[in-house]
Amino acid sequence: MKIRNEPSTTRLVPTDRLSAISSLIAEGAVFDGSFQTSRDLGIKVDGTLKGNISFDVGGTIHVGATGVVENTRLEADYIFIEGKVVGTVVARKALEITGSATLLGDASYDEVMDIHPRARMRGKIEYRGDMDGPGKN
Amino acid sequence: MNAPQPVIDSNTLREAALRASWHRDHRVARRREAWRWMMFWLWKYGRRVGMAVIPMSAVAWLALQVWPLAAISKTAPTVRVTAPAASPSPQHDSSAGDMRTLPEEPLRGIRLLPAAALQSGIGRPELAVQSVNTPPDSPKQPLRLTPEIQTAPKEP
Repeated sequence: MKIRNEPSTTRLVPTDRLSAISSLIAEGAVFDGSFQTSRDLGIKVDGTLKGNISFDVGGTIHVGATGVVENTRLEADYIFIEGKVVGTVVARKALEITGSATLLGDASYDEVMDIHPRARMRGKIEYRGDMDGPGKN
Repeated sequence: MNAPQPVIDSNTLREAALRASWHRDHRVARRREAWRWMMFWLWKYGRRVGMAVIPMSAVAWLALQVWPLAAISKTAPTVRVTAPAASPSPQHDSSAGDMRTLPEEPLRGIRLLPAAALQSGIGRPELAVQSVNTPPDSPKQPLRLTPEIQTAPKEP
C-alpha cells in the first residue's frame, strides 16, 4: 500500500500547519501530564494523553485517528480532531471535527468550525466571536 | 574499521514519522467512518426493510410448502383395480400365453392354466382338438370350440 505523503483532507485547518508539527506522541504511548508552550508549534497525538495541551500563541493540535486525549483542556489556534477527546476544546481560529472523531465535552471556537455528519459529539458548541460582527447575515 | 553511520536529519526523521502517522490515520479514519455510515443506514432503513421482508419470506415459504403438495394431488392418475381374467377367449391366439392379453371378464367354466403349460407344445389348437374324446370314424364336424372343451390336457 502506498504511503500517504500528506495528512488527511481538511477543510478549515491549513495543511501546511499539520505538516509543520514537531511533537508526536506515537501510537501505543501513554503520556500522563500537561503540554504547554508559548511558541507557535504543533503537536500530534496518536497515543494516549492524560492532561492538558495549551498554546499561549498560535499552535496546532492534531488528534490522530488512533489518539485518545482524556481529562483535558485543548487550547490552540487550530484544532483538528480525528480521534477521541474527553474534555474541553477551545479553538481560537478553526475547529474541525472529522467523521471518525468522538468528542465528550464542550467545544468553543472564535472564527470557523466544521463538524462531519458522522462525528459523535456530546456537549456544547459555543461561538465565542462577535455575534453582530461583519459576518452577520 | 566501521564506517561512520550517517546522521539522520531530525527534520527527515520528523517528516518520516508524520508520513507514517498520516498513512495510519487515513486507514483507520476511513474504516471507522464507513462503519458509522453503515450502522446509520442499517438503523434508518434496515428496520423497515426487515419488517417488510420477513413477512413476505414467511408467506413465500408457506406457499412453497403447500404448492407442491397441491400440484401432486391434482396430477395423480386414478388407479382402477380390476379382477384378472379367468381364461383366454377362443379368438385369442393361443401361442400368446401372456396373461395380460386375456379378456377382462372371465368366461364360464374356464380354468386358467399357467402360461408355461399353454406354451409348451400345446400352442397348437389342432393337436389339442384331436385329443378330445371323439370317435375316430365319426364324420368330421366343423370344429367349434366351446368353453367346455379344453384345448389343453386336463390338470391332474
